Amino acid sequence: MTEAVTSIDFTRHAFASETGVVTIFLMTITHEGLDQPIMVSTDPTQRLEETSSDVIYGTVSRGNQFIYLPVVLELPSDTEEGPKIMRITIDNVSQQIGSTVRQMVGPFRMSCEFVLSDDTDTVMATWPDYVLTNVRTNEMTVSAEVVVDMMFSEPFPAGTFNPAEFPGLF
Amino acid sequence: MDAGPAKVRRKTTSAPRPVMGQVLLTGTQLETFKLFHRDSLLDGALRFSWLDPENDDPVEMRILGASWTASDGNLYALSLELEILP
Repeated sequence: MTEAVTSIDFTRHAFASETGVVTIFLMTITHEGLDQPIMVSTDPTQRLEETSSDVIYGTVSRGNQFIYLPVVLELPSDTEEGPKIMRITIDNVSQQIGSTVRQMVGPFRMSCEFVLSDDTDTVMATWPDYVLTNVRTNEMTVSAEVVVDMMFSEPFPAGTFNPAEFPGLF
Repeated sequence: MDAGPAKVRRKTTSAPRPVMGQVLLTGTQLETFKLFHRDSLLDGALRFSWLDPENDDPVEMRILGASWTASDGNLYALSLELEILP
C-alpha cells in the first residue's frame, strides 16, 4: 500500500470555495477467474457506448474505459477499538456484476485511484492493493468489505506438527 | 458550519437537465401518448428521442411524470415533466 500523495492541483480544487472540477474515483477489480478486470468510475464523464436499448456512461483514463456505476463507500470510522472495516456498495441493477461475482471462487482484489475531471489521465493518488471479502449480492446492489491483505495476520509457521495433519506422530 | 458563503462544487461532470412542458392533445392523441408511455417506454423507464425545446437539436429524454386535464372543447392539456439526458 502506497502513501496518498496529492498534487498541488488537487489541493487547490479541494480547498477552493467554488470549483467545477470533480474528483473522480476509479476502481479496478481483478480476479484470477476474470478475463478482464471490472473497471468502475464514480462519474458519468462521457458516453462510452450506445446500444439500441441503453447508453453506457463512464470515464476514459489512460486509454482504459471505466464504466459509471453509482457507488457508496463507507469509510472506516476511527474508534477506540481501532479502525472499523471499509465497505463498498456498487449498483447492480443490470445484474451483470452480481451474476459474475457469484460464479467466482476466491478473493477479488481492488485497486483504487482518483483523478480530476479536467485531466483524467493524471492519477492524483493510488491505493493499489485491497482485498474484497464477505461479498454479498442482491437484486439491487453488490457490497463487499474492503480490507488490506495483512501479511502479519497470516498464521506462522504455515504448518505445524499436530494430530490432524501428522497423525502418525501421535 | 452554517455561517458564511457556502462551499460549492459539482458532484458529477454531467447531469440530466430538467424540462417542463405542456401540449394540447385530442382524445385520440392522448390515447396514443398513453400507449406510447406504457408500452414503448415501459412506464417511463426507457429514453426516447425528441427535439430540444430551446434550439430544436435532437436530444434523448426521459419522462419523469405526466398528467392531463380536460381543456377547452374536446382537447386535453398534457403536462410533462422531462429530463434531457447527457
